[in-house]
Amino acid sequence: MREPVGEDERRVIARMAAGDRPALAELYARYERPLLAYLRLLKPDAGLAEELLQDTLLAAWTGAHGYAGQASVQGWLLGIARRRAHDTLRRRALRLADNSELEETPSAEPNPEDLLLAAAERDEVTAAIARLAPIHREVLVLTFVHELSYQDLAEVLGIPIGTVKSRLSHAKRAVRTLLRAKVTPS
Amino acid sequence: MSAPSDVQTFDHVADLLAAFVNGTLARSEREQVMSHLQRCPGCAADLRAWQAIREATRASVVPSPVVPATILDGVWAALDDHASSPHPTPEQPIPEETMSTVASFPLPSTPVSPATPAWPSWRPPDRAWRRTLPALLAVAAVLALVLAGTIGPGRSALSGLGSVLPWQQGIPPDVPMFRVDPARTGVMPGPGPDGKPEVLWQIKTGGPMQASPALVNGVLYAGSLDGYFYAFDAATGEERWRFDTGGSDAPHPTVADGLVFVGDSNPGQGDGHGNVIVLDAATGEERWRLPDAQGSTPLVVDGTLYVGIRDGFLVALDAADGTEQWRAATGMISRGVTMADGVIYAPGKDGAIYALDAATGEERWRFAIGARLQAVAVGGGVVYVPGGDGSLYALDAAKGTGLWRFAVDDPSVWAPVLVDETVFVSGANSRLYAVDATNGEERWHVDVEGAIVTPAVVSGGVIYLGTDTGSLYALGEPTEDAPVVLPADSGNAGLTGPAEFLWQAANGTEPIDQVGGMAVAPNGDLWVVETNTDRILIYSPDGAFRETWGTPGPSDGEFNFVLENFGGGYGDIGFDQDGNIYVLDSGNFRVQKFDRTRRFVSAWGTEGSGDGQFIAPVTMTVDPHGNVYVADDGRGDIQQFASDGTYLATIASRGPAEGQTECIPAFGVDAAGTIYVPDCWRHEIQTFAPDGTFRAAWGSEGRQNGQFRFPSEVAIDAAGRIFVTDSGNNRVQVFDAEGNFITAWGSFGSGDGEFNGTGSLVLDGAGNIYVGDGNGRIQKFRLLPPLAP
Repeated sequence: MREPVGEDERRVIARMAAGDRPALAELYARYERPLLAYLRLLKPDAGLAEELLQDTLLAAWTGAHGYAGQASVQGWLLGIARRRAHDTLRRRALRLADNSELEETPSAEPNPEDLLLAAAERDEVTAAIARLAPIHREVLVLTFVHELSYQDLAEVLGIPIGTVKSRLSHAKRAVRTLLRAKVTPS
Repeated sequence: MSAPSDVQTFDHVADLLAAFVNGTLARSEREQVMSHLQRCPGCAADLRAWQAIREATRASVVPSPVVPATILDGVWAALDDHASSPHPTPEQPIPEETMSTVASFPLPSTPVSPATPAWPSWRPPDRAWRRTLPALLAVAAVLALVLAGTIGPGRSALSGLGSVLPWQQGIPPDVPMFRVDPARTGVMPGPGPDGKPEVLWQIKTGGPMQASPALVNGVLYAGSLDGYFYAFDAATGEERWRFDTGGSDAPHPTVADGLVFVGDSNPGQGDGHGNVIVLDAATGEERWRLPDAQGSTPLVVDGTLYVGIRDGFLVALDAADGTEQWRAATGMISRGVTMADGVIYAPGKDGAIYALDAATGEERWRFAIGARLQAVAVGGGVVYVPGGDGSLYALDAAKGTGLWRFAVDDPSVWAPVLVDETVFVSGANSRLYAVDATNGEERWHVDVEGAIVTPAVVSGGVIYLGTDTGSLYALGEPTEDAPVVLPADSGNAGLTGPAEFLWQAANGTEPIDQVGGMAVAPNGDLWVVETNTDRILIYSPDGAFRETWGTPGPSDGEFNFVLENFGGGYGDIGFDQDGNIYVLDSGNFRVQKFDRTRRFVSAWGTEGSGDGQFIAPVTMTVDPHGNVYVADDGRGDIQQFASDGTYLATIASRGPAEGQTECIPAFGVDAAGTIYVPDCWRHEIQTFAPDGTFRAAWGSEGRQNGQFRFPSEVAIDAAGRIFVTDSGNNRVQVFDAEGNFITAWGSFGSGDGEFNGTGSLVLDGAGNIYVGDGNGRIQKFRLLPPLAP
């Protein structure tokens, strides 16, 4: 279990809501790197990612009073960053709608592909992950690099927790599929 | 209380494994997983798979980048600017919550006693502001300078005109730059209308008008985010000329010595990628341009242009030819500079104000405060400050005491302008108010279409006003000399497009349950994949619904258009020259081929990443030779097959490098076999030779012509022109084969010719185009010249 939302962090947000700028500086010092790393994932252009980081901080400042503590501070900030980065998803959003993300049917027997994945060289798995579609790569990075909980993932991605679980499951399946052939089209 | 069954436990635990590996489970769930793992071999393999994915994911991410130290400085500067900015950046409209938080400071609604300490009495009474008290005093000092330097030139210019003012001869007094004068006071020459004005004329351009127009010699100069800079006759709204700025943001223009200085920047690329373009005011011809400018508002005084450039300098150039006179290291500056009494005040993005000698560039002083000066209006000894709380504050300029406060009913209050004893102020609530400057009482208000995001220009009895929906208004009292022209249509982009709307069709009275791929059959009928029902809808060329084809399922001749692993519906359809029908059966990971009588011929493809396999096949194109191309957004590539399903080649691959793609929602193939891919993640079009060699990429993220937000599909006409559905911008853009922008049409909405996220598109080869959108419908357009074949 990760630490519950720290009281000190809550206080920092409350101070921000009251207009205390050093509080924003404190928050920034703590989260600048994860925020920028995530924004770089969404926007490979470094200049753009830095602009979005500024926008994110600005939006965090102005929206501080709206932070209700349901997500961790990091989850809340990453969610803001994502909305800043994708101010309009339009058709992409339609196509990535959540209602048809269905559960993979689980099985109590060892899945041979899970065994294959577990036995694969890390370089191979890493190469497969680099080739994932953004929707799948994003959920894996948020989960394992930013170490977000399901609840925070739901907050950041703007989807229900059930969809978080199925998206993770689909991401794993996509990694398996990419590994299975071990053929890299030029 | 009974224990959960094994199956229930299993489902639950399988869901938790990623979090278990990640250490993000609560203790009770963690113990449940551990206990279950001991008796579930399948779960153990699953667990190891997740561990492998976790390690590989962490290894796949480049180390945390170094964060530039200036980012926080930029935030402070932006915060200071928010409360008073007259010009929000186009990409980031100030969120509603901004204002309610930034300024909840109490201001007495009645005048306070002059004995009350000045600034602290109305600034927010918290620690941060107390700490910046010295800085605030510095602001007051600079404001006083501005005031002293302004009333002089501003008034003397008018008084020198003699008893007959130009506007009485039919030409309104000039407002040559943002907020009237180099000191940016916002004291308009006036007069304003006597009472509540009416619309004299209204022009609709193709993009938001976020810059304050300049008015010189009866001509209104205004930029629009449609990528044009315009000159209009101020009396009639008639267009004099327009200049294609090549897809630019348009900061406030400045007119001096017969030249128009237009700053432009590319909002998607940030500061320092803009130009100052210098145009002939009479003809609109370009005279010269300064590249690598910062995109801030140019200031021109006495033949010298002052503007920030990308390398972090403020430069002074000869306005006539661009010869550099001096440069000063100020770092990047915000928006534009102010000048009074021979001193340039440059608000740096580092939050400092630089005072420079206008003649030499020598720095006189700098002070780190992060506030900007041009946001307030100063006149008659009163400073008018737009508060972040939706109010306009009037303060005594000498003492800093509050005089009155006016509520605008909208959190976004922009900098006001002054005319005699009237303050004109507006907000994003599409309402312009005239407020009595002496007591803060409303005189009248006028509602317009679209949010007002820039200060009004008031001259010659008329108010000129731009809105973010692209309208430019002239408000005044109609007279014989000023007939009402409403709405003016001078052939501007946005009103008449390059394509004529013919009809729209849905699924009867219901929307189509997600429009997938489309194709025009040999007999001219339109076939449309309705993805969520796994069937194909067929329409006649005049939009009449004919029939549906297909049933859901995995067998031959059955369809499944929903890609469960990709969270959405896809599916596509195509015809070859013999009339054979090809269906991209996305959810079944295959292509099915039918003859012209819809009899099943063959199918190919399975799930996987080997040659001829699919992960997320999203769209398909059948070229004239019967080659079948399938874009796969899971694999990140395009596979080419012969008409019998024989695998031929793979084109493109996923990755961040040049020649790789991040996202393949679709693609187009021209007659020569060149492949066009709209990369919806990088917001560009990539082109590949028929053998898969990467050729070029063009476009960037943004709203300007030639820019994209989530481009989704591409079609190519017989003349080689590229049609792109630019979904986030709700439009269709057209380019030549080299990627030069030709034209565009469409805007957000559900009416004729409007889109809610443009999606599929197909050309019928007879001069018509079909476009699907998120409204669940198809629209048919007839292409007009120059697009007509």
